[in-house]
Amino acid sequence: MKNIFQMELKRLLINKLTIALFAIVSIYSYYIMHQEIILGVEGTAPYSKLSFETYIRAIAPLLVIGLLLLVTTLYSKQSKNAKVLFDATQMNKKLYLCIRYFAIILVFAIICLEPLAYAFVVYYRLFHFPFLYD
Amino acid sequence: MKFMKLFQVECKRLLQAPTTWFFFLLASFCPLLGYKAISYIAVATVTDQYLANPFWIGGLACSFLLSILALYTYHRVPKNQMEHILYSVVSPVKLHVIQTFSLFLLGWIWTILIALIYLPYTKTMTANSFSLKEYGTFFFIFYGMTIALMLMMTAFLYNLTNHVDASAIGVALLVLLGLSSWKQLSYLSYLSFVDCCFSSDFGNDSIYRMLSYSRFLWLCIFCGMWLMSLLSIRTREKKWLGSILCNLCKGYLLVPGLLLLGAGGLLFLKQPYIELDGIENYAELETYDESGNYVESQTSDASKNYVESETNDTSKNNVESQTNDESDSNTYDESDTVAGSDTDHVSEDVDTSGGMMAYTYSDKETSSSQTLTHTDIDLHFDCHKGTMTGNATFSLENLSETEQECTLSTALGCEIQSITINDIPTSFIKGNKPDLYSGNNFTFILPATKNLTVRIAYKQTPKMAADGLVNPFCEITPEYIFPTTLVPGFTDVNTDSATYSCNATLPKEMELIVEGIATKQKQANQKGLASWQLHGEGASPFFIAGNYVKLPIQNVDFPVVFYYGKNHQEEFEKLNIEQLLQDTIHYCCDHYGVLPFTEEYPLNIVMTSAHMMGGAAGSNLSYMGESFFSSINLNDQQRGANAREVIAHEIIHQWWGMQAFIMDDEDCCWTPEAFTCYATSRLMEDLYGKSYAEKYYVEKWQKDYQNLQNHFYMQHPQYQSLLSTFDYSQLENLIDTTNVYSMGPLKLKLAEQLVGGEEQMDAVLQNLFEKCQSMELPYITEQDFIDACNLSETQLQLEGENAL
Repeated sequence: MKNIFQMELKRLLINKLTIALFAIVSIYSYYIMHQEIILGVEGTAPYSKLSFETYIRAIAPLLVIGLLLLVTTLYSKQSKNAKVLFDATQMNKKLYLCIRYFAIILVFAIICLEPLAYAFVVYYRLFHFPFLYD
Repeated sequence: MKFMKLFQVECKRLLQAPTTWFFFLLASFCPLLGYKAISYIAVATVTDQYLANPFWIGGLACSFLLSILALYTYHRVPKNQMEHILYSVVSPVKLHVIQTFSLFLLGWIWTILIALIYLPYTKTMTANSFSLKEYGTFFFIFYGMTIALMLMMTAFLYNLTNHVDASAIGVALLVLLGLSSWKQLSYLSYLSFVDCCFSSDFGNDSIYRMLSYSRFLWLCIFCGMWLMSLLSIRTREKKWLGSILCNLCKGYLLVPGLLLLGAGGLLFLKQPYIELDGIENYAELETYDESGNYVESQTSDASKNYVESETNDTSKNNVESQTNDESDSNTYDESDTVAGSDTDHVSEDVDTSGGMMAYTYSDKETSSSQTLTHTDIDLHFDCHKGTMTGNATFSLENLSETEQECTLSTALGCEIQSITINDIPTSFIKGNKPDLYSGNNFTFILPATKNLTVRIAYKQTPKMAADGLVNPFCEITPEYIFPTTLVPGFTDVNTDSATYSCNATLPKEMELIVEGIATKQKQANQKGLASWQLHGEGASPFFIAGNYVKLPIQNVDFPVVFYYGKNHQEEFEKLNIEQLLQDTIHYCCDHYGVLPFTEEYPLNIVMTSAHMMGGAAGSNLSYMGESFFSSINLNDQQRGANAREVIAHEIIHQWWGMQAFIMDDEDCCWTPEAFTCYATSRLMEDLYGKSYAEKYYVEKWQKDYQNLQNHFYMQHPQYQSLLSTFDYSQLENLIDTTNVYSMGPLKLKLAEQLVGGEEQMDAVLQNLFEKCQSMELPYITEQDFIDACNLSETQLQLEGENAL
């Protein structure tokens, strides 16, 4: 089971869709951070709850679209072709599907972490994480 | 099978597919988002609210949905593993072309259906402003052309990648890129929009011209890319590169593709709507012969050397006064006897926050050896092409009777075609732009003769400055004419006693509003045109023309005429706008004094197109963007100081800003806005009571001022240096706006308390206004105000002011 999960995760991580999503999310995070957040929202600090919430709110729709695209890999042509082989094995199909879902969730979480990590890098470089000792 | 037969089969299949109509259903709902949920543009007019915003969003969403459908269609054959069977009947390239053309036709069918669905609602809501021609134009540009662009983009990406997911990501990226900032060339983005509002009264031809140009340009580029990408359609079981090599012999794809790409590139480089020459870039010196033909080109270095060598023995003061110090390489004078004069020139104080823009005329003493006595001008407007051609004949006196160098300053987009002096063609040099908002300067030599007749033929196509805003407020359209400058002006000629005669040919429906002391006479002409004969004082006229209703304001202390768009007539009669103007004028006359307007020189209050943001005032013209008069603004009680009060604010600028100018060399925030905002609040106090003025004016100033003080970067100035230039300029703009519109009036309010109340303050202001009118004070500085109030500087300091 562990091997199947690792294989599925590896397959998703080196998928060009994931790489492209990662790149798009990075660019978009940079854009939002420098266009809307860095000056602070409504006069608050760029690292205030309001500013950070605005940042997350701006990124979220893109992440949801990304999740939808990741889910499409379940129904891709290759998956359908491979399904014939999996159907021939004695493996529990529901369990296998759960493993695949879990791998997608994990990859999605990694993509979600990217804008958060970028925000922390910016906050650290400019303000040295002031919110940690606010 | 023949192409047309296959095309019909594919179209029929597409039209019968449930997926197609599911996507259409989604696309037809998208404009609903633009009515309320998403507001991409500043909604100020009914055209913005019910046409521009919903259908721009709708067009974009519809194109995106069609792109998804296109990817689904292209991928259908390989997904169902039908390629071997199908490609034995029709070649893959032919099939792709047929699919693309069918999708294109489908997109246009969607466009027509959506236009028909929303037509009754749009017509009802926009009422008098509705025009079927404009509705069609809007759909053509924002639906039809966007659909074509996105389809070409999608087809190109699919051909290149042969994968749906990669193509979808590519399309999404290109959409994001199209919607991002393109800085100076933002109108040339393939999904571009404009920064200004859409006009409901004066047409939007100038916007449509620009956007059609940009869409057409990108259509050329994307069509070229698509044709080239057809070479990469997988053939003979080969991969991408192999397929390209196999298809390279298809010249009928390669050659038109390259030609279209070249045409697109050329259109991009030669774009006609933005003047990209900035003051930082020394443009080439272009020399023209007597007939106006281009002769030679000198490099920027050459131009610099030329200036340095020539200005050794010249009056450098003149250079500085004319060209904002470092600007131009050509505006100098060879004669030691010539000093600077810009009597007829306009210094512009532009407020970026949507308030007033005052044109002020400097009255510097001039000792120029050249005097302009009279100008004869013949102007012809081609409103459909958006151009103006002019012939100006200047009668000059060269008192020095030596050869003199003369410089003509022009507006953006103005090209001088020929110059003749005493009927002899003369050569001239095209120089650099003095600043971002001016056209090139043209220099020529005046002969050593006393009486000179200088004839200049020129053509003007209004252009926008390269300041990153797509805001074509200077325009020539069939409904409206707002030129920057009508005639090129001499920068170093005495024009104090000059007069002008002007013959302007305009569409006959237009009303012409001329600035200054002038007489005008209208004569009907042939072909729907009318000739206007103008005579007045000054080197040249300035006028605005449009489909206006003229409303003289009765029962006021001096003559006032209000010009507004015909579509507003019914609405204004209901709103009783005449009463508002009467109240404002009465208040200012009673509290500050009567303005020196006469029957020959009346105050003209003019509604300008919504393309012009904010308002402005100059001489006897006080003009405001149409958005101030829109029912959306006029009825918006939630905004407190609403547009009705902004109208009053702009009228009050006739007193504070025009008759009495407020300026301080040491404090750039000491502007007429402080006095005008204060006077507006007092007027509203008179009209609606003290609590209203407190709530919507004083409390708002205090809140804005407080917000700025509490702003993160004000509290932690050490972080300001970490901001990028763009972010820092935004912060500066916020500080300036608050200082001008909130801190300034708050200071006056504080002074009111310190001098003993409103009556005492009125006396102080009346005294200052009278001093300005009698020229005792050229302008009011902060110190003048402090002295008039008999206060000290420290008394007038607000809490925390030093920190800003």
